[in-house]
Amino acid sequence: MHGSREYSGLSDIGRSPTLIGILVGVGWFLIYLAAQIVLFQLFDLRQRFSAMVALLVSFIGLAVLTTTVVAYTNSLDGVVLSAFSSVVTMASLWVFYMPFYYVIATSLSVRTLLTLASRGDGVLPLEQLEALFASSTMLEARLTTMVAYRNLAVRGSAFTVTTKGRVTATVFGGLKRLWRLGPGG
Amino acid sequence: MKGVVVAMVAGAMCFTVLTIGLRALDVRRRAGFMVSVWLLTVPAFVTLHYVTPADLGFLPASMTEPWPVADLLLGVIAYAAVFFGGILQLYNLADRGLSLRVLIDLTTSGPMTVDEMVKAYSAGRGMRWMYAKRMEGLIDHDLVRQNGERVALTPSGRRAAVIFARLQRILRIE
Repeated sequence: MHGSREYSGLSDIGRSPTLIGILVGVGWFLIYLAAQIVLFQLFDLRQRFSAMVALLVSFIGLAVLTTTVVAYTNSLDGVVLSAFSSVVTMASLWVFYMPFYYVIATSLSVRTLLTLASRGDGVLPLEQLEALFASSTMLEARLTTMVAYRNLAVRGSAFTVTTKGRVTATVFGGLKRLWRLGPGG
Repeated sequence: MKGVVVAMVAGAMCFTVLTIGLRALDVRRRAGFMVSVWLLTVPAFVTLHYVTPADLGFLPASMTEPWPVADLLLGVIAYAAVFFGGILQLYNLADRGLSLRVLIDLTTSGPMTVDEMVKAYSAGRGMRWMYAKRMEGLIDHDLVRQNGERVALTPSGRRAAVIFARLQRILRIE
């Protein structure tokens, strides 16, 4: 059941505001990925997440601008719908991409594979891997990042949770109880 | 825009079904279970999109797509994002997130030193338990094998390591 504005011919499909928005969104997202790689290659950024968000927002702006220009130059209807579709497409592709990025960047499993691969024979004692990835040194590095993102604070030699960190812990603690996940980690 | 609205409704329904499933059943491979449930809800999403009017009874004409297939495509993209970027990531963080577990441990037990956290991690299971869980995952996926106290890469593990090393170089991750 659809409205009376439905297209009748194949030639009309090229005038679909949603399709134009999707294609523009995909195109700008690919350019965003390329720009992010160039940015990371050129600069040693401390807060990469903030940089990625700022870059994404800029490129979403460019996508909206592109859909608007395309609509006006071709006298198309649905400028707002086209812009909305490009924003949804870019935001969706970004939420697919970010977990993938964090797996590459922070996963202990990935780091384990890379550590083993760096050995010619690909073999290491479990004890040595534990010393690298289940030790106080590894945890300290993660805690330093959490302090930088203001989830934790340092009190002498002890770490304490901040209000921001407490809110996150409470929300996810509730989700763990709702889904009966157990302690996990 | 209808597709995005339907995707949000379908996402809420999927979350509810998953919650009921995880509470009622003793699920071992939860991520696989969640993906299966999502895949089963995709036909329901498409049906819901087909049977509802283009304007859903409240959308302005300017936000109504004349070509339903394009609207459905945008809806599928949004629905996949709601699940893979939203619900499934919430699960991954809640069940496997190291930083989140540290936050929860510190919230429940109060301030701790690094050495105390290594022992108290995950309600007293400790960091070695956490790493054993990761190792189990790598063995399950045939990326490494463990012979006694020695851990070795499998051929597929070596191939995966090559890909990850390349990606880390491209993204300049050290």
